[in-house]
Amino acid sequence: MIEVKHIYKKFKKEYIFEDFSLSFADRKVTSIIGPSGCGKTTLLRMIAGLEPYEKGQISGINQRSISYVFQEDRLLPWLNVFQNIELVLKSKFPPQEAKLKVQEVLAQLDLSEAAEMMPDELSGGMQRRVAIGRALAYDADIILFDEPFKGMDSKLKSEVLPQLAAVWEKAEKTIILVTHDVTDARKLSDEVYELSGRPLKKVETPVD
Amino acid sequence: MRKRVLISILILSILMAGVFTGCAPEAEELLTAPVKIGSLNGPTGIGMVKLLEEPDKYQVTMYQSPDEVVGKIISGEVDVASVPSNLAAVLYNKLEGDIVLIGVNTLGVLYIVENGEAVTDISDLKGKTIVASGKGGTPEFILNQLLVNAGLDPQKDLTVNWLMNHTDVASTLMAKEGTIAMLPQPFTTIVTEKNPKVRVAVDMNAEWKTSQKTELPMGVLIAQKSFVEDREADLTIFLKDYTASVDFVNSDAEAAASLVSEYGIIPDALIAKKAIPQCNIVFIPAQDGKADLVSFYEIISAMDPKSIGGTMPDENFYFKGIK
Amino acid sequence: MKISILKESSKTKSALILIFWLLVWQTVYTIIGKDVIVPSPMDTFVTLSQLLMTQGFYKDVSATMSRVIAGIIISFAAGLGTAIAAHLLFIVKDIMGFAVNILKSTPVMAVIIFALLWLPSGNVPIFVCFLMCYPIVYTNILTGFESLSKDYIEMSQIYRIRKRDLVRSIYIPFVAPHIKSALSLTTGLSWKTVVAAEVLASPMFSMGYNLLNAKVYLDTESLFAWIIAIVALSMAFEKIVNWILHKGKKGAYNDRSKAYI
Repeated sequence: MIEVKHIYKKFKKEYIFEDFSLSFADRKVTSIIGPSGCGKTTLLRMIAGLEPYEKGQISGINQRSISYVFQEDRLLPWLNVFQNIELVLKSKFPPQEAKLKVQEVLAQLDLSEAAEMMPDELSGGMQRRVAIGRALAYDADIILFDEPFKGMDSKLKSEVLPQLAAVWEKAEKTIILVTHDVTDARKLSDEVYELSGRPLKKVETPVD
Repeated sequence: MRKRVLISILILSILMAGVFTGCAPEAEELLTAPVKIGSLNGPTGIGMVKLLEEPDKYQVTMYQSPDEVVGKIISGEVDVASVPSNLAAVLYNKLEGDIVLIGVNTLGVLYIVENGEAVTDISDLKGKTIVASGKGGTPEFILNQLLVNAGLDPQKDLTVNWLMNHTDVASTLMAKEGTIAMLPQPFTTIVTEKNPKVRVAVDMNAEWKTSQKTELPMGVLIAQKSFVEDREADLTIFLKDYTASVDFVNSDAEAAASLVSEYGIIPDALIAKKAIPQCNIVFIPAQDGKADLVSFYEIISAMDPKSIGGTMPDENFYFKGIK
Repeated sequence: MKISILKESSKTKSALILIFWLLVWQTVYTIIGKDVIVPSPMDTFVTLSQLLMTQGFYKDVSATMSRVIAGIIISFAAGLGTAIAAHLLFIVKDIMGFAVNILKSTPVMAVIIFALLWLPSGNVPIFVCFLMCYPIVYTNILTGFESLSKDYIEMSQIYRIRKRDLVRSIYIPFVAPHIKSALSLTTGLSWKTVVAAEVLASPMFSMGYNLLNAKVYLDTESLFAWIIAIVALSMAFEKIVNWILHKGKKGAYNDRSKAYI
């Protein structure tokens, strides 16, 4: 279980998190929703270890690998789709196995045709899927998603959502999802939390 | 009574006429316009030192290297200039006859000077590096000729580091031990006086006379053709004052030295006094110096025609004298 | 002149422009009248073609060119090395930053005169070239390192990308364009500084030495001929370098991406 305990986090001179606590159950999908700019991304980053905080503790993440799907994709523009995913597997798997995994994940997300294309040749939605594919292929215990469906129209979403759900169920991973779309959150998650108010002290409404 | 008045008036008139005639300035002393002169900061500059005392008549600028003077001649900024004798011929050729050689003003003043003891003869220069300045002027060709006479190849048997002017050469020579340089007077005397380790290694002028059997006319005075043709009266006055200056410098070294140091040509008057007699400052009118110049030109152009600008200047190059 | 002709192939256009400027040159020559200031285009080209037939010309050209190449190589070696060090260690960045700022504002002439005092004349041009080009190389490469977005670094941290993959797949491809632009900038500059230094240092085999000689002997046809040769070679050199740098389709990383993985 990932536990965020009594976190205090400042941004510039203000506290955006003041004595904030929240738990995330293992092998479950937890969504965090809330208005833009309320700190959802910051929370995710703190869990990932990318953002420092003034006081408090986050437990349950030591020794465990984490995948992260960034809000901006962060695909390397000079590598093609296949290579972007392959790159993160190189430290974990031997070359042959890495290549197989890439093919697998591309198939899962219906991206096999785009394997040799460069990121700037893809639509926003496709780039997103590549980023998601990269996170999935890495096969970490914990996967953090920051606005995973940004840039996807409803048609695409309706294809990708079930794909993702299927993958997650099979894989038994701990997933934390940040989104502003309540419907998506509800569809995918076991638990949904809403962040609001500033500074965030406690979760207001555990919505299910 | 009237007779006395008449006689007084007559005597007064005569007296006054006499006074006025006596007071009338001699017409020949007046220049129509100041004469602009470009000189080098060596013997030629020293030779003109008296002219520096009359700045409204003569605007003299001292340059550190021949190409600066040459530039001023081409642009017309100077009427009269001192240049190395070979460059006078080059200019005559390149400017298609627009300059005239007035006379020779410097004879042999070139030396190999060393901060050390290694060189005693021209042949000792083999395999060495020397510093020098004044590329394109007479030192380059005199050196090459003497090297050839000693059986050396100027291209292959030594390296010449051409610096920008004689002052730089002098500084390098005095600062670095083992430096060998080619320097003209007065720099030769200046460096040997200032640094006792620096000595004259070869007297290039003596060498030249021995092997070539001619004089070494190193520096000449030239003038714009327009100046010679249109301002003949000014030229006459200038020549008169110039020869007077040359005579002064050669006859009274001490007085000349104090002037030379006053005008900053050689700041130290004592050194100047020693250097001036070595500077071989002369004034040989063009027609008198023509024979030596022609032999000199023939010798150096045989080695490299570019040294005199390709062709031997014709007789119109040499000033024929005031008509 | 019909508009249609102006729109024709750029080769024709270039030829016409060249002819135009040659006519300007001829006019200037005729107006000035003094050969020694501006020589006639005809004489200059005759002199140039004579030069091209002498062996000495090629010896001088290769001497100058090797100095240019040496200067560029040294600048890049030093620039790359110090930029990496500066990116890793702040103190190096501060120390070098100071030196580079001074070098950037120092006029070439001052550097040449200084170098003349203690280097043999053949090496002065290389040294001068290095001092003038190094700041550009260093600054460009360092900027490349520093502008590598934190985003990619964070991504590499999350996915625990190995150091060697980080360098090979992220740093090198990102900084490569900066290195290339530094090279583009320095090719022209290196030629200029090398030749300028050669004029003052006058090493026996060099293009600059010939410029100096032409000047002192008032041989303006040779002067212009050599200048044309220098400019032409400098432009050709730059074009070749740019061609090597931009081989492959513009915009797409495509085949070259294989090199980064």
